[in-house]
Amino acid sequence: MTTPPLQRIELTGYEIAPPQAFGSLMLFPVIDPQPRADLRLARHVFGPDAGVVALPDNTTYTGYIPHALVVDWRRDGEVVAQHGATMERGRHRDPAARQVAVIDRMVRRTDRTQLRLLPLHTAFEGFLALHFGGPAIAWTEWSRRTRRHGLVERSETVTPGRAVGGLDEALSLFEIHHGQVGVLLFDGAGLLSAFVAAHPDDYRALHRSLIEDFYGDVLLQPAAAAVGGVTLALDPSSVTDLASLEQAVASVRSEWAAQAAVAAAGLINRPVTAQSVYRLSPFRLERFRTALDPAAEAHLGEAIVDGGGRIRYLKTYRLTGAQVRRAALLELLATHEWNLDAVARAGDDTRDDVVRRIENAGFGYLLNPEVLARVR
Amino acid sequence: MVASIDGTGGDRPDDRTRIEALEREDLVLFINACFACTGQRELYGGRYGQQVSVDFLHRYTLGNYRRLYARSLALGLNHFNRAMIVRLLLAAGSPADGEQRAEENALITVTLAELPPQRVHKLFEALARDRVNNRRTRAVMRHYLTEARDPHFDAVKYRRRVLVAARHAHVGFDEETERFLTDPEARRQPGVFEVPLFRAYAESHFAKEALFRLPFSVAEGLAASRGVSQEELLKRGRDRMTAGERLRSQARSQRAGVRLPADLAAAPLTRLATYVCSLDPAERRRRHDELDGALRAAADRTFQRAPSPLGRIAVVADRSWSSAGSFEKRRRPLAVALGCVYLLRRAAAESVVLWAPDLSRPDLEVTARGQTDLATPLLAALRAAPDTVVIVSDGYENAPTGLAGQVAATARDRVAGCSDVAFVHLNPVFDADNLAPRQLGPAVATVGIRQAEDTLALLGFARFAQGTASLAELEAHLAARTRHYITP
Repeated sequence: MTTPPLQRIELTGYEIAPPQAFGSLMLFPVIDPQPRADLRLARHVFGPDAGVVALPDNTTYTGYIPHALVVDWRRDGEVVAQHGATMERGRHRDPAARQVAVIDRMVRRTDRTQLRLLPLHTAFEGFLALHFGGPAIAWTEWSRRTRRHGLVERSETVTPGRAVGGLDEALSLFEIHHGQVGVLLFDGAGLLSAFVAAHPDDYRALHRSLIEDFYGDVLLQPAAAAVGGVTLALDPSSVTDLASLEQAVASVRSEWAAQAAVAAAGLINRPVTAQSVYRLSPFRLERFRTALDPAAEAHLGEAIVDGGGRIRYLKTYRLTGAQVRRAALLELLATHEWNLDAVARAGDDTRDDVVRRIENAGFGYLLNPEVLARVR
Repeated sequence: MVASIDGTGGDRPDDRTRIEALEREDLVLFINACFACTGQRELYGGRYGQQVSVDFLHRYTLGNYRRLYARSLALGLNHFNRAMIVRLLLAAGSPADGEQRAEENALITVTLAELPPQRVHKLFEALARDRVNNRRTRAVMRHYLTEARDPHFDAVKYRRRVLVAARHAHVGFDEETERFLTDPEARRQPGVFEVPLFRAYAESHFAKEALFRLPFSVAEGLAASRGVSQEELLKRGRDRMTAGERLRSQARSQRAGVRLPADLAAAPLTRLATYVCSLDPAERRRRHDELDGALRAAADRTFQRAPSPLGRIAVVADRSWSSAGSFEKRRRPLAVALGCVYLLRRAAAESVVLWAPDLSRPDLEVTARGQTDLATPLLAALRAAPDTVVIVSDGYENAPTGLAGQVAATARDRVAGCSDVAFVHLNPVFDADNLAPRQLGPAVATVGIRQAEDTLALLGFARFAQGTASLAELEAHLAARTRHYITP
């Protein structure tokens, strides 16, 4: 049985509560009214070193990876105890193993129903590997190295949570709701990250770990407009007695989800390209990204989806404008089989402009020096 | 805040009323801040911001309304602010007007007698540091150190600060006290002293027995160097403990395995509520009858001191996560809310209590958790058709923001039967940025609160905070409280 991968990110079955604003950040709590305990997440902390992930295709992924998530699940909706609460073999909790900086694979099964995954890095690796192979036809404009080995190395800069102004404070002042399983984190420019855990207890335990994650585009917008506390006004005209006042309050409340949906339009309900990474029947782990349109917000992330297609775990990253442009450029090159003239024709551009764009995007090293010299 | 009122422009009646309104607002702002702020760190604000903010308010009020500033000592403000008022009054020198001077002096004397001694000694130290050395300051210090208190006891318990104050104000003690304060060598020689406390202190350097004739906090400091274990210290020192020391040593005595029955029956309401909130919910459930009885008794004692019965009261008490307070004021907002609940239950003819978020257990098992949704319990409170709705909350409403104030305003304006309901918001947290406790909207009168004991007096003050009373009424209120305060 193969279920199709995610088409769009939908938060069906979840309720979105009124936001809490702290300076330039705003957090919308995501609440699961009927939490189930057949999928649980826990945190696994690595040492302070940068992590190197050995990938199956002989490439390596290097980054600061402070922690991993441990996923426990059951097939038939049985209850899983919170990680650490059960007696278990010491394999994945071996203290010596934590010293090792080389991590084997992004997602790795550590037990029959247990999985270790590196949050966000799983999704980000897919992004970095985009069109990693390079040109299939040996166009002479590309350097010899590019023609032989493809992109060879590819790096992007992200912002650690601690450098996001006010995030630490916002997380510590945030009041976690009863039944809260996730959060939509906004800054002045829109949705910064969405995080949904599988169970309220897991969320409570993982709430502060959001500071260990990485985020996009925040350092570049220090003067991002402060998000004021959104207030919805109660309409007094319909109120005559207590019952109608209660109704008016209820209608104010029901508007929050709509507010959040508008604010998060860059991700929620937008079509995504998803790819299945791991099957943990009946669940599956997928990584996804929205379309790479430089004019719109672009997000990537990973999700665990249950058999019914409902998202049970979600973690997203908003790509910075430069990252989107770079990725869009790679995609454009790939669709035209890395032929500069074809790209120029498609974009109604001159060939020199295309070369300049490639250089400005930081991919100048892929081209032959003479090609670059001509446009300078 | 009156920033630039032109002194000559007050002739026209319009200006007169405007200035009056501004003066009233200034005073209410100041008094409100003084009920809540203690210069300590809050959950939402740092310590420095709190201190700068309240310091500014004090200096501003002293500069513009000196007589009323002094009289606010009679309002039952918290200790921190009363000490600060005394400090600034002494630093400003005596007023020229004889009558005003006499009133101020009486206010200062009564206040110092009411403040806990450690606060007064700290105040004197601050005066010495600021080099405030006018005649009145010296006289106040001399009177306090030699007459108002037992100089021997204070010399042992607050030695360093007493010495600083005595040197600063040229206070003369008897020969032995002076020797004890100034001569470190003599303090280790038992033969030098006749006074039993001084002798005990000197002996305690050599004999463990002498340790237990000293004030407990002094013995506590010396215990480790004398090789006295925690267990022995608590067991033998328990008779010398003050009530506060006893209450704060509860957890420690349990760890050391010493039975130290806390005198719950005598503890003040807020102290008791803080103690209850510090216990594990399971333990609270186990000791429910004992703790509940003690809280009821404390509430009753508080009520009997100034009995002002209330009618139908609905209490909305905030127990969201932010009521956990800060490192310096741990669980303070929660404890204040719990104390208020017990006191209002005692004082009201009929009462209904609603926690936010909902608490399905007895009141005393309350914990700080969850979001701040005040609108839902407020609606439920209105269903009970109360005369007064008392909201105890830090004012950081977030589920959603600002809805409670709108509900209160709409109910009062449009719902039949709710037009006479008074909404009072008691706020245990001072918001440094706004120079006032955070408010819930114009329909709700916000008053700062530091101790649950003040609840009933604050409900009386709420009409000033609301702005319904005039400046003349506020001045009359202050004058009356002052007369009552300084009459022996």
